[in-house]
Amino acid sequence: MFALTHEELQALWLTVKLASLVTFILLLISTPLAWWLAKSRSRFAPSISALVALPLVLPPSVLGFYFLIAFAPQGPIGQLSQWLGLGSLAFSFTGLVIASIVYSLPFVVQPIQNAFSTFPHEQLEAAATLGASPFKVFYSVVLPNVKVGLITGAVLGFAHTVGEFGVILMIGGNIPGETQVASVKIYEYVEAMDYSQAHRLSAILLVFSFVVLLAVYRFQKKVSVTGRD
Amino acid sequence: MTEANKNFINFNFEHAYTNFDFCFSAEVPAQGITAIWGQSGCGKSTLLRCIAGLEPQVKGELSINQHCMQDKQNFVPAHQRNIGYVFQQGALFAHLNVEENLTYGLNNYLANNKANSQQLTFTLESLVELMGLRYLLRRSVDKLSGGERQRVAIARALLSQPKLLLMDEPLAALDQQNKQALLKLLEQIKQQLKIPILYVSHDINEVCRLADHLLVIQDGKIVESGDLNSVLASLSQYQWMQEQVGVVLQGQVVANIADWQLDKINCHGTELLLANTRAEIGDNIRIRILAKDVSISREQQAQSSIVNRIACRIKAFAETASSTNMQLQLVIEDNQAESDDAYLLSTITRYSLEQLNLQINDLVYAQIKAVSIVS
Repeated sequence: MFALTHEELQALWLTVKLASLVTFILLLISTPLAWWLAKSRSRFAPSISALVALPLVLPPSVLGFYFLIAFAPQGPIGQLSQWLGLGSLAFSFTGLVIASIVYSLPFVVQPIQNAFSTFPHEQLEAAATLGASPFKVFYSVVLPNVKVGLITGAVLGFAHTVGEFGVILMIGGNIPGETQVASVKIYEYVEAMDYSQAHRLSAILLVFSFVVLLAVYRFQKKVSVTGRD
Repeated sequence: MTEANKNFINFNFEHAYTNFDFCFSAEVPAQGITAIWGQSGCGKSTLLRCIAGLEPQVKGELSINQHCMQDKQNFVPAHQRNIGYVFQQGALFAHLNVEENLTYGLNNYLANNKANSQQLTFTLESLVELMGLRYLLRRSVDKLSGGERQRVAIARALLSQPKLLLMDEPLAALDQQNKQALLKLLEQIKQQLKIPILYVSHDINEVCRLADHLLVIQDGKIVESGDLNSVLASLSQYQWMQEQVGVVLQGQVVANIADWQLDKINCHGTELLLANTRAEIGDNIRIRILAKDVSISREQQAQSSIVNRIACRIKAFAETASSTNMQLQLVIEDNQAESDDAYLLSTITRYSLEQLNLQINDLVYAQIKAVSIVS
C-alpha cells in the first residue's frame, strides 16, 4: 500500500525540505522578534504584534494573492529579486520559502514570545550581577528557560508549513520537484477523481501530524510536571 | 585624596521618572553594614539598583575605594562591577539546582579573571558550611523554603567574590522564625567575612540589629547619613520618625536572676535588668532604648516601679519636630570607658525642662521604661 510513486516521494521530500528550511529561518527571525515583542514598551509593538498575527486570520488565498502581486516582475519583491539576480519568485521554491515564512510566522513567534514574557526579568539581572556578560546570560539563563517555547514554536512552525495549501496553490502552482508539495499532490489526485491515491498520501499526512502534535504535548506536559527535563 | 578616603563608597545619582524623581548623594564607609532605611516607595531599592548598575539610564557617579564605576564619561556595566546583589525573592535560576546556582557566579569570576580556586576570598566549601547548605546541594530550587532560598541567594552572591554586597530587603518575604534565623546568619557574615554590605530595609528593628551606619531616605532624597546612633538621634527632626528616635547600645549578659526571671546586662559600665533576653550568660547583645521611653528625674527615687534607673549627665539639648518636646542627650555617669557610644536620649516636654530647671552638665537620673533587645 505504501509503495509510493516517484512523484509522490518527490512531493513528500519537497514538503519536508520546505518545512525544515522554513522552520530554521523562522527560528532565527522569531527569537529576536519575540524578545523585542515581549520586552519592548515601544508604541509600535502592538502594531507589529498585529502584523505578525495577521496570517492567523487572513484566508490563505488573500495572502497568496498579495504575494503573487508582490512577486510579479513589476512588484516590489519581484524587482528586488531580479536586482539580486534571483529571477522571478512566483512558481519557484524560493518563492514558496518566503511566503511560508510569513504564513507560519505567528505559530513560531507566539510560543517563544509567551516563554520570554513569563520568564522572570530578575533572573537576568541576577545573572549580570553574578558576572555574566549579556551573551552568556542569553545562552546560560534565557535559552534553557525558554527551551519549551522554542521547541513548541519550531514544531508548530514545521507542522503548519507541512499543512500549507492555499498560499502554495496561489503562488507556486503545481510543478513537480519545484513547487508540488504533498498537499497540492493530494488536491491533484482528488481533482482527477483518483481517490485511492489521495487516501494514501492523506493518511501519511494525518499520521505524521498526529505524531508530531502528540510529541509536543507530551513534552510540554513532562516539563510542566517536573519543572526540568 | 588621603589614605583615609580610600575605603569609601561615594555616589551621586540623579534622575527624574514620570512620577518620581530622586537625587541620592552620599559617602559611606566601605566596611561593616550600612543600612538604607526608609518607608516603602521612597526609592531605596532604586538606589541599590543604581549602585549595582541595573539602571543604566540613570546618570550619576559612583566610586568604590576610589575605583570609578560610573561618571559622566564611563559606565561599567553590571556584569563587570563585581558587586553582589541579593534580591528580595532570591532570583534563583529555576533551571539549575542549588549547587549549580551557587557555582554560577563563582565560575564566571574564575573565567573572567583567569583566576584559580586557590585565590578565592570566599570558597564554596566555607560558604556551604557557614550557610548550612550541605543537605540542599542537589535539590532543585523550586523545592526550597523561603529561608533556604535566601540562604542560597546570599551564598551565591558571595561566591562571585564581590567587593561589595547589596541586599534588597532579603528578609521581607520570610516568616518570623526564618527571619530570626537569617538575621543570626547575617550577623555571622558581618563578623566573619569582612565584606562591606549595603542593606536596604524598611524595618527599623533589622536596622538596629545589623547596621553600623545608616542612611535615611525620604521622598527620593538621603536626609540623614552617619553612624547608627548619631542618625537615630537626629531622627527627632522628622515628624514621621518621632517614635523611632533612640539609641542602640552594646551589652553583655552577666547574670541571671532566676527568682525574678530577669537578666542582668552590663552596658557601658552600668547595669540594666531585662526580661526575656533569651540569651546565655556571656552573650553580647544589642539593646535599643527609645527616647520616648526615657524620663528624667532630679532625685534617685527609690519609690518607683521603674526597674532601670541610670545616673547621667546632661550633655546637650536639641529641638525636635514637635514644638512641645525637647530632646536631651545624656552621658552615662558610671561609664569608665567614656566611649562616645555610651549615651542615652530622652524626649521630654519643654514644660518639664522648665520645671526641673535642667542645665547642661546637671546630674540627673534617667528612668528607662522599656528596653528592647534587638539581638
